Amino acid sequence: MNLAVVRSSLTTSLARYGRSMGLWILLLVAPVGARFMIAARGSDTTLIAVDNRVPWLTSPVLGVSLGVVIATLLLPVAFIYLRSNVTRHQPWQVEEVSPAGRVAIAYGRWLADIAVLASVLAATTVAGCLLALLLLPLDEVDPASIILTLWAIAAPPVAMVASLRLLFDARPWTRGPLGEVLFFVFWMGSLVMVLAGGQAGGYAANMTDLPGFMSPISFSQGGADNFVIGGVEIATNSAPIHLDVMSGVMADGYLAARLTWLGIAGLVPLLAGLIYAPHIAGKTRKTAVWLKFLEPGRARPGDPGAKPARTSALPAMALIITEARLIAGSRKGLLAMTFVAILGLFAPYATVAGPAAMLFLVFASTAHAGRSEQKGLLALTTTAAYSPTARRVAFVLAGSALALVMAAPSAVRGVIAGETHILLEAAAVGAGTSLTAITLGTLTRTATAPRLVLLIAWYFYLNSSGMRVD
Amino acid sequence: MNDPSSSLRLENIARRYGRKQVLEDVNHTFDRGLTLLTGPSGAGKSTLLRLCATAEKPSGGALFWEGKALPGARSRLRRSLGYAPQAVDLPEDLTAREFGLHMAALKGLNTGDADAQFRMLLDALNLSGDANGRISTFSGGMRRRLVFAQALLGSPRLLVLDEPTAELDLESRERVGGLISRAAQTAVVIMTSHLADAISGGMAVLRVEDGKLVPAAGVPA
Repeated sequence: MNLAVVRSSLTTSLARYGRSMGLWILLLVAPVGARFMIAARGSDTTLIAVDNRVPWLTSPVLGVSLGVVIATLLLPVAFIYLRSNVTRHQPWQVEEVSPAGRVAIAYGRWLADIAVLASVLAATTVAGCLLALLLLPLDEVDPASIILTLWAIAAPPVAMVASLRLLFDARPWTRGPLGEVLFFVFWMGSLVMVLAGGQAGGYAANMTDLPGFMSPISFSQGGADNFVIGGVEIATNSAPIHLDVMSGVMADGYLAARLTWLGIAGLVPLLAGLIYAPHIAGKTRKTAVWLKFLEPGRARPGDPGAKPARTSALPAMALIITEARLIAGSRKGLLAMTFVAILGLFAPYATVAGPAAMLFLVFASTAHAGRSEQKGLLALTTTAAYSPTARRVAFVLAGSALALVMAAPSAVRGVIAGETHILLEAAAVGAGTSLTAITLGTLTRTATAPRLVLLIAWYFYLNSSGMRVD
Repeated sequence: MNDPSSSLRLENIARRYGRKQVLEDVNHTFDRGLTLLTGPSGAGKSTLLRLCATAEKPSGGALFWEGKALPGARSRLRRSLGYAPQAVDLPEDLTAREFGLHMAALKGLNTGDADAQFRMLLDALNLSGDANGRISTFSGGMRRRLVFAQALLGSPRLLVLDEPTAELDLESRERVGGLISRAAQTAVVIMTSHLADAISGGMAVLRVEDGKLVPAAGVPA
């Protein structure tokens, strides 16, 4: 491995990060958010409830709380940031024909990503120490225990996020939406694995706990394995729980497992470099013969006498229809929509057709939001008669309309059965999905952020659907 | 005295990026017909075109379209505008036709008419066989012609073209040049090009130099 290439790749990436506003916003998000993650002594709401009680705030508990939030809730934010930031564009056209080794380039970029995420952890650590000064008696402020607990929990999953970003950039298929889906599966899987393997201590059980919070919470002195992470309201007057989380951090196999996870994260760039497949300029996806009917086919020749297009009688409606066509995509998209609509004739909307429709909209709307919000395209579309803001409004209306179209058969079936809420639910899901897609697409200029956020929202929708009936 | 209809007037236009003064005290009226902007790279030609196309706002001075001052007349200008910037991030996964219809909708054009006109334009630019091809498969020259084609959609009275003939082979340059010459008969056409040889008919030539707009040497502006 050529160290000069590693260094060049690292310093170039760091310089690009340093010049982007996104980094500074990211550095502010965690420390500012930290204030809202910590339950002061005597609080009846908390982000982490153990045995349905608020943990008694100490320096180590503060570190654990911040670590847990980063290792669980903020991981998708970190992935979105890495995949949407300035370094998403790389000069691969010249890089891939240079003699520089892919492994060296991969390690340079990984180290830059690690440096960025480590700076977020550092900012959160500083915020944690300041919070400790504000919320705890001075003699109980212990920066060392805040640093140890926060970094022991958060560093391995954060390093793994940087590694996965690199791994997914290495192969053509995972450079697109599949990469986001795989990250979503990985993230959900890492949370599920904790519960699957967390009932026993030791190195092996801790290896199933990538987010790293099971041992500090469950195996600390006074801990319990019935805990909830997320906004929790506690019964008034319930006594706080006293956790000696340091005993959980120092428990057998915990720190060794954390170091092993860091080691695995450190090896992933090697794998990414080894399996790297070059981009293909002007790539065309080969369509199987039996799927040719889904392709647009050959265009009809134009009429040489065609007159200049007149102004539309209903320009706003034409804009909404065009947006709907572009969201729905080609014949493949229309086929998928038809399938979802037909599904609604036979399957319940709440548990099957509704989630299927939303999943279609997640991919379709984020793809169009990402493509239409590129800076270089906005340079052109900004000068059109309809401003980008008008187009965004049309986008949301078009997304809602598509959701309604897909829900129509379910709605008819529902009306026959005396149910009238399906169209309302479809319109709300369509509007919410497309509004999220275009808002995050506008902010990040990519499809990555809205797609990942909406996949998480879809997962919640899917699970909430299971608790309802049509 | 210029006829205010279909003319773009620039009064004391200035554009500054931070401390760098790119354009200063630019005064000119672009009338119907073709105006070619020349000048060395980095002189401010593209900046001037972006100002004319309302893609940017001037740091000072005022623009008038058909006698009306911007920003009040901006939407009026945009309804009349065809713009082909030098660099566009085209939506790679759309087909050329889908992109054309997208732009037509943003221009407020009738979709059926726009589809027919766009196919005619693609034919004229030798792109008809690729109308349903994804933009990701297009060469640099094909992309340039596609961006040029969308600028001609509708019947623009102001056409702003930044290097429309760059990256084009001789035949494509002639096709583009023919369409520009035809458009210049009815519209105000302002363009930059290092390869203006393919354009027939008269044109005014101006030079952007040290942030000012001056008549090109030996050519009456």
